[in-house]
Amino acid sequence: MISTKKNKIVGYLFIAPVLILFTIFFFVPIVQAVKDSFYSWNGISNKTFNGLDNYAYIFNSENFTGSIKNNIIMMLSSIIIQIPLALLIAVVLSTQFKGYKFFRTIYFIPCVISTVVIGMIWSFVYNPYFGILNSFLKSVHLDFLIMDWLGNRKIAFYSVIVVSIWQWIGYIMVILLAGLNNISQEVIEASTIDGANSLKKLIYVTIPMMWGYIEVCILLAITGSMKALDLVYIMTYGGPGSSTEVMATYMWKISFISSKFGPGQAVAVVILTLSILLTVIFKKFTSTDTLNESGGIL
Amino acid sequence: MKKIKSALTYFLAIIYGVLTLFPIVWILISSLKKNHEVLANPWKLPEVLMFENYIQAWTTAKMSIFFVNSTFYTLMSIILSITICSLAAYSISRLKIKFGRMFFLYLLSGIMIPMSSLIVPIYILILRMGLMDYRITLIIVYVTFTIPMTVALITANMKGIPLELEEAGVIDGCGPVTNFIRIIFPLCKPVIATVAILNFLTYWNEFIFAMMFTSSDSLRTLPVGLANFRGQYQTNYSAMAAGMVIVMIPTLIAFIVMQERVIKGVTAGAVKG
Repeated sequence: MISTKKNKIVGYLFIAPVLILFTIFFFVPIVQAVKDSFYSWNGISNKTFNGLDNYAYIFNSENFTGSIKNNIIMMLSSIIIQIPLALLIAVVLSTQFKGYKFFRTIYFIPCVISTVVIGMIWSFVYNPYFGILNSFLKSVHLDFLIMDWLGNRKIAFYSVIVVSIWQWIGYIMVILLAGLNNISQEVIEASTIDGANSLKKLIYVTIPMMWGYIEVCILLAITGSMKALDLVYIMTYGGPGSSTEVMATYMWKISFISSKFGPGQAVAVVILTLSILLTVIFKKFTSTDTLNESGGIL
Repeated sequence: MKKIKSALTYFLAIIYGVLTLFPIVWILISSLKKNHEVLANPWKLPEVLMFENYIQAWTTAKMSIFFVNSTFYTLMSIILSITICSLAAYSISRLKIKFGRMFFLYLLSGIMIPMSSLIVPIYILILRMGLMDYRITLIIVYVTFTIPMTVALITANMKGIPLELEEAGVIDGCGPVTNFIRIIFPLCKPVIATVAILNFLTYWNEFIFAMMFTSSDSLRTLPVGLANFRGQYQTNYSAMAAGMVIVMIPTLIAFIVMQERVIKGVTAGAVKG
């Protein structure tokens, strides 16, 4: 392209709206959160500098440390359960049996439904009085499993995790399916001739060849679990007690219910730091550029 | 052996299909039952089809207002985000401005940052700017949060368009603006359609920001209205189910019509991010 002066002026004008919006409503809030996390503020009075007190406050709060634990459980269950399950489904679909596209569509459906609706649907499913889960368990004579899925402190969080896995598995599956379809058939055929069985092929040939895609899914699991908020908000609001509290709901409550904006911003900084740190560490340990070649996918 | 394998494939596919669809279909059926039927036996089909539940959700629970609001916010946000993001993508991929690469990386860094960590600072910012309870606020926030992915996808696509096409335009005396409108933007229609549908899903389904930035029913969106509905009519389960169906129908239809685009977009987006 011929780069003239006019082009450059137009160029700056064209990129300006995006840069301005992004800076004001994305970058400035981040800076503000970091700054506010060192001040005490209830939303009305003047801010006063209090050093690391806000951080001391949140890390001394059992609700907060419990919420970090919950976020980590969520992340691990996504990596250990959701991704392998999605891979299994993707492998089944990748055989491209008759009608596989129909199933792919169905599996993706929960991803396009609002999390508010998903949360409410599952609150119905788990409902101890008219929910289908307990009623199903009763009909197959597994009465001992019947319980108040969202009301029992010990299992409420796992009940929420199941929903989160259920909702996004189609998303992960679609990405992994793209990875599977990217593997050249010749390699698979070669390993078949070498006498590898299906499981061996999966572990030694397929998974290593699509590892880049699995990495993407792990990254999504990390950032996805850090931002968990609306599902928990709708299903349990952190309760019973604080058994299903995640960092974001804790931040919500401490800021908007208790008006402690200082500690609230400190939580925001912790979430931010953890997400970036985990992403960077993960990327450092697994440096692959296998995905760049598929840049022009659209 | 082959037959067993194929049978097993279908078996697994169907089992997971049922697991996926069953809760949704159950809600659909419940939305057509009388409330006491929902409570009495979850498995029974409705005795008569209670479309009244939908009327109740639509009018009493004010879903009609929320529906109009959601449509407005979603459409405006899509139009705004596509306009400014495709302009930015054009600038980054074509106009060779200084720092273009740096600007691009700056915008992309947003992909790493979870939106929910910013709810409190953004709330404070909006409060200070006096933008609470304006329709434009929600639109601007929505557009901002989809900038990284939208710019990334459109830029990647524009880079693939051969330069010769524009050079022909330049020879014909077209400036960058005309080139963008006449040549580049039309060629990007497929990727524009993809980001439009992906952003549609994001905007329509969003809950937290919509809840924070609207304080009256006249401004609220469907997800917020639905959540409030549950708070107000705690025991009217069948009407609540009807409300859920009303919220999910538009995205379901959009997805089914444009599923190839959605799936391509998800794959490309994940790969970029």
